[in-house]
Amino acid sequence: MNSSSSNTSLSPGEKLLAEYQGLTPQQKFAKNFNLPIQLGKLVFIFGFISIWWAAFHFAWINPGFIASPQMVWSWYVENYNNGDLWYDTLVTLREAFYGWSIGSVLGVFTGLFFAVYPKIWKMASPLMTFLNAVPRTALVPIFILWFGVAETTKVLISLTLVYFIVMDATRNAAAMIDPDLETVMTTMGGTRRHLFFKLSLPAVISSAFGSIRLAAVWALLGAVFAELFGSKNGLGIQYSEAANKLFMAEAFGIVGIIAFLAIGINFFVKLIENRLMRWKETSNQGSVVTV
Amino acid sequence: MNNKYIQVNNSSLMFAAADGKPVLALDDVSLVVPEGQFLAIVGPSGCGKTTILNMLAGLLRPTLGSVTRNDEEVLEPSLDVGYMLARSGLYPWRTAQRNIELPLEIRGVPKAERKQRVEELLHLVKLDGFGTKFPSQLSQGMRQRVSIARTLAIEPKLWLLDEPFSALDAQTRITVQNEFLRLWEATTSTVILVTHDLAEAVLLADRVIVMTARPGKIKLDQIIDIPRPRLVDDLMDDEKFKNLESTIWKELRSELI
Repeated sequence: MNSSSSNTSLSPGEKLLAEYQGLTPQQKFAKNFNLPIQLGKLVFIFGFISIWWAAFHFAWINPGFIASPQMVWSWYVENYNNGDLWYDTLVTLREAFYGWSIGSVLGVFTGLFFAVYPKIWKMASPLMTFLNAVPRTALVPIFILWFGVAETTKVLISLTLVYFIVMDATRNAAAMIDPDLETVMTTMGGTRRHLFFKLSLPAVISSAFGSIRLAAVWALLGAVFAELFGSKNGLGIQYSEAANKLFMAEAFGIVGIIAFLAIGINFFVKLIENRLMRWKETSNQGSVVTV
Repeated sequence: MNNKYIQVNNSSLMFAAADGKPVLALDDVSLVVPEGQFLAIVGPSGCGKTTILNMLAGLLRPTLGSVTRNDEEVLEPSLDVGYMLARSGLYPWRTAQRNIELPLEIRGVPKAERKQRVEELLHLVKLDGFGTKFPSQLSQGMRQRVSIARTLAIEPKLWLLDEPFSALDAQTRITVQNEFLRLWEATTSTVILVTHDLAEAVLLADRVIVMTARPGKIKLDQIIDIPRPRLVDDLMDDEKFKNLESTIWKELRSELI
């Protein structure tokens, strides 16, 4: 039976298929739209805002130290085209980006190095464990003494967070490389350089990418955190100043911006990940369509 | 044609396991393979079949004795040797065509030439149009055909096959075996196939060697004088094939029990 035959001769399954294929994307969306779940999302958000509002309105928390939802909303409305605020956002993002990219590259390369030379890793691991355990809180004042309140300090703090996450993930990923692939490369006459660039590096980047994505959010948090201690620009220092002056609407507003930035970063890095991971697509059947 | 293309001379190979316990994988194996022969090595698991392949590939060196190819000692992997494994060994993040390109990249073949070569190879293994698929999007049989194409890309003088058809289902195995025979019969290259499937060895090879359980020794060396070109599915009902298979099976059975 082929598609050119008349509708009357279609089997029930073929009819179902033809009907579904005829749907526009909007109609498919409407079919898959699950109202209770969408309403449920609103209930949670609304509940959160209500508790927040109540905490302000009934003075569960001293109203001087908290802003109401309406106050934060009006702060956003007043400041959405505030150039200084956008500049601070840019500075923080830039610090996080440098910390993330430099930390990831270092993490991948040294992680691979340690995987290739396990004896060196055995020697280095006690020191590495110690360095990773050093609280970043304690490092910020020292880094400020060394590098000043410039962006370097923030980049370095976020880098130290990113580096250990990525380095560990890379070492673990390198241990999981299929030994068949190495045999194939070696028997083809591949050199150490080929093994590194055509096997280890791509294999490790793809399986460690989940951690690299996680590290991007840590990079942002690290940068903001370092800014709290002293900075010329950046969301962290603006937040700190607002909180010190008890400009609670501004302080809450900035916290909101930081959270949204983290969500945004995660989203964009996820897009890169999906692009890099196209090869992992399996024969995903999707969910069962109900009529 | 070199009648002593490959020579394994009184080779023994001992592994030292992690606990320090030595394992003798091969015991005084000698073997001469003329150029252009399709040799199958059959034996129980752990008999050292793969060890012989790895020695020929230049991945391992015998503890005692030596291995030569074209009268030169095999000391390291060589560019004109193709090695195929039970699992396709394809790079999962590379598309079929980029997998086939891999050995050409290693050789430094220019990109335009690579592209053209890959098209030809995809056509040879009847996978036209599948070049842009990733291994995860291909069936087992297709993956193994991509793997054959990748090995063909290096135009090997010597094929080392480590059970390359064993992971395929029965129907697919016949198709891929025929495919391989068709491609190989058009060349003058030498093949050494390691398998635990006796029928496969007799169907495909010019000569079958049966090995004992560990430590591996050669127990039987049998010429398979079934004419070529061969078609695996036709041969299965062939009297000569059945006789040869049962003769060898009797030899092998005593090793398995």
